[in-house]
Amino acid sequence: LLQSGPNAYSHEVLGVLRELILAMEKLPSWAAPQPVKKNLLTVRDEAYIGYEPLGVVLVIGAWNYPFVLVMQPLIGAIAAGNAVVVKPSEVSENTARLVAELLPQYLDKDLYAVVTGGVPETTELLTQRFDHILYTGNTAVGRIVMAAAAKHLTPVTLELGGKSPCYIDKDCDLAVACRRITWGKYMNCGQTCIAPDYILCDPSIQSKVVENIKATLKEFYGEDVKSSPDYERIVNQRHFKRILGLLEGQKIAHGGETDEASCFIAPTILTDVSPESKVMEEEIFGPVLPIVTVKSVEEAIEFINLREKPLALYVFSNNKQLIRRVIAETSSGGMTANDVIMHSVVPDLPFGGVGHSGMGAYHGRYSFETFSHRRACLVKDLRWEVVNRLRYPPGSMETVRL
Amino acid sequence: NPYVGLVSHLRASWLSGKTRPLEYRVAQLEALGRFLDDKKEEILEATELDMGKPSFEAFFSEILLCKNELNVTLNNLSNWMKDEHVDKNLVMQLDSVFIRKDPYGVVLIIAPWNYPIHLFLVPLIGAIAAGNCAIIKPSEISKNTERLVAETLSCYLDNDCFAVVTGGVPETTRLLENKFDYIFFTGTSPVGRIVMTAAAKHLTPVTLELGGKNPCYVSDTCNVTNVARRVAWGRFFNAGQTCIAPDYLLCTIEMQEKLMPALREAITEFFGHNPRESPDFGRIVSDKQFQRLRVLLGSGRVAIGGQTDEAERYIAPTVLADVLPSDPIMQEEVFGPILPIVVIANMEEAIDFINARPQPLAVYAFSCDSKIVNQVLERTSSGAFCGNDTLMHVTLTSLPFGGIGNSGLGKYHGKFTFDTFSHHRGCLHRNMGLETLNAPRYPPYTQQKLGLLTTTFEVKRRGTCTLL
Repeated sequence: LLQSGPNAYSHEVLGVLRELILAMEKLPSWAAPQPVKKNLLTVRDEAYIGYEPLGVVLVIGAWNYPFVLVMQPLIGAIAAGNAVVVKPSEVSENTARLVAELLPQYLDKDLYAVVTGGVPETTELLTQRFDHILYTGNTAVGRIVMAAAAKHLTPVTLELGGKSPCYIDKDCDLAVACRRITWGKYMNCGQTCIAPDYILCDPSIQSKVVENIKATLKEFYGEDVKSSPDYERIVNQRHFKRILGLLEGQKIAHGGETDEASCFIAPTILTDVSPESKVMEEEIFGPVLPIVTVKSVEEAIEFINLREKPLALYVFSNNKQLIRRVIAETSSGGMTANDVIMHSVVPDLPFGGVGHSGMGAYHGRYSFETFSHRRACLVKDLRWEVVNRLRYPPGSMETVRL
Repeated sequence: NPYVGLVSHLRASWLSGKTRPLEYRVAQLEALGRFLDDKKEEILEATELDMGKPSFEAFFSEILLCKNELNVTLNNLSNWMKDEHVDKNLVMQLDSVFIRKDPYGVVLIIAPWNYPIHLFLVPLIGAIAAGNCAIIKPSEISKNTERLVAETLSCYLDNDCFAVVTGGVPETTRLLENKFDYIFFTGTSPVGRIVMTAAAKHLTPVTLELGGKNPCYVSDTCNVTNVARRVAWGRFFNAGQTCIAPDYLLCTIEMQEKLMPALREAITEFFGHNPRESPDFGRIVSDKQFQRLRVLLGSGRVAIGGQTDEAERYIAPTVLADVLPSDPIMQEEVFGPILPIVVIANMEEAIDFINARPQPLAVYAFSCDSKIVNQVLERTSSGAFCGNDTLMHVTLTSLPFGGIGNSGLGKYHGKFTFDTFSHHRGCLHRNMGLETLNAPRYPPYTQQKLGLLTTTFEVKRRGTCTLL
């Protein structure tokens, strides 16, 4: 991926360290039995919810943030008391090798294992019974994982993807909005599940949006993007060719330069994109930003709702009412208003999808809960039988009324 | 597909947004309450025809418990719907960070025959409360109740948003080909697998309330009379056709000896000398189930009961002694008024026995010694645990009700039903100003910026030295 040092650290390592410390600090309170409200019949009893491990869980990672996407679930799985099998993505082979070599040196080999391999190995692994599977990846494989899990009635958390829309209202600070969008779109060369996938905005501001993004790109990566140490590459030839295919027939307002040998695709902006075009059919997962024009926020909302629910949704506006409306009338895994990506770094927000973008959630306490079984516990006394007589047969309607 | 039209119609209603306002949800829930009040006699009658359900039991499980769930929901709905605000870090002090409860859309609720009203109505309460549209598929086996629900529910609920679909396996299979936004299934594990496989095609999240063999360990130190009553009550309620009934007993040979007269006495106390004549003892729901259960009577030896009447689908409250782990009754969920006793040497053996088998919906343990009860709790795994009683944990709406492993996934009751049918959406509403605070995250990346980012985002482990 050619991630630069500071970039990789902040995106991969910092988040993991934070999650680790959070788990270590909060584990006693997360794992403590939760007493619950009792009714008249149980007032003298102990009633609580106990948090118990599920057993042996499987974590399947993805290649775009290969370290954090196995580590963060692993932290939750360990915190909840499970044994874990980790399957890093074979596409990010260097990280996979690193994880496979290092993890056994630090963790108890009897409880935590790393399995490497591609599709055949993963398919074989999925025939085994696990007590929970957390999968990060694409929608198509998500279906396969869930179908395999169904054979064993294994609960799953699927962190998938989709096209995360980004609506820019006419009433907003375009310079700021475009800087934030540029950051989120082109980080990791667009290979981020919650990157703003496409922009929806009024035709009258389209060219201003392009200008602002161009200016920000220069600020971030300099005149020659290819030589910036902070701009990444596409992970492999297959994805390079796929993204190239999306550019066919499009109006390129900026960028478009590519270099197959190094899997380089310049930060690209497409304007006046048609909703029926190929680039609007699949998740881009690359540094190509299509702009689709809409005449109003109603049109934007309708556009979004006609499509599959995305993993993230973004809206930029000074108008709080408008933002509230977009949130209320759409659905998505998560969302950020007036910025991008950032909802995923709040430790107390659940991170997950809905519909085709996934099911279940994790991060922080939610990781712990994902990998725990909440067991209802009621412990009564063997005495005080007289109270129970009310419920025993022979029954009569009078006792029922009591 | 015969249901495409119906599902599209509900989806269109969903997209119109009419199920979202609190007032709409409350109105529909109140209508459900009226359904329970108006149709009480019809419900008691239908369930009696279906499985000889005693009216006391029917009132308790089909009306009373449902009304409790309804009231808990109506009392708390506006709070449950509110955005949940969460802790913010330094950088986000001026932002709004919250969890929004979004409805899923069009959900499917598939109910079984044993508590035919309760097991569709309680999930439906949560589905409506969370703002969804729903299709209800009651069981065709409890056919009188199915007819009642199909004919009358539509008089109470908004037909644009809620519909009842009837039919058997072929109809349900076709129904499951459609895309739903959530599927809530109560039934057996094999069918649970089929439902989840069908759901996987559309990436539909599911809750599966399944079953298993709920073990009931009785230690040597206990009040035998009270244990016998509580176990007998739980076992013979609804003629044993309860997913959380104590399925089999584990105890020492001495305890088996002591329990037998106590169980006999409890059964007589409850149902008289001829339970067949008691209005408080139910019948088996179908010929197929009756035949299945009759075969299981051959396991161990009949210590109490054992009489059957095919015409009435009556099986007497029965206790089988000296049952072996290899006996037929120990290979499947009993789901009938037969209590097998498997003799073990001690608590350790009981725990090992339980853990060698698939995780059940409930584990029961009886002892005067709370340490023993806690040992069994801590060293086993199950959907729920109840010490010194049976079934009662289900009456507390504050406890989550669900399985683990083969006994199911997901949970409901009370707020848990609302949460089951809502998508918890993480939302961050940021300020457009203070852009300088964002500077450290932008390229070009430098060590200095990284240092700044680390300081603002880092969580330090307590006990480590800090300069602040």
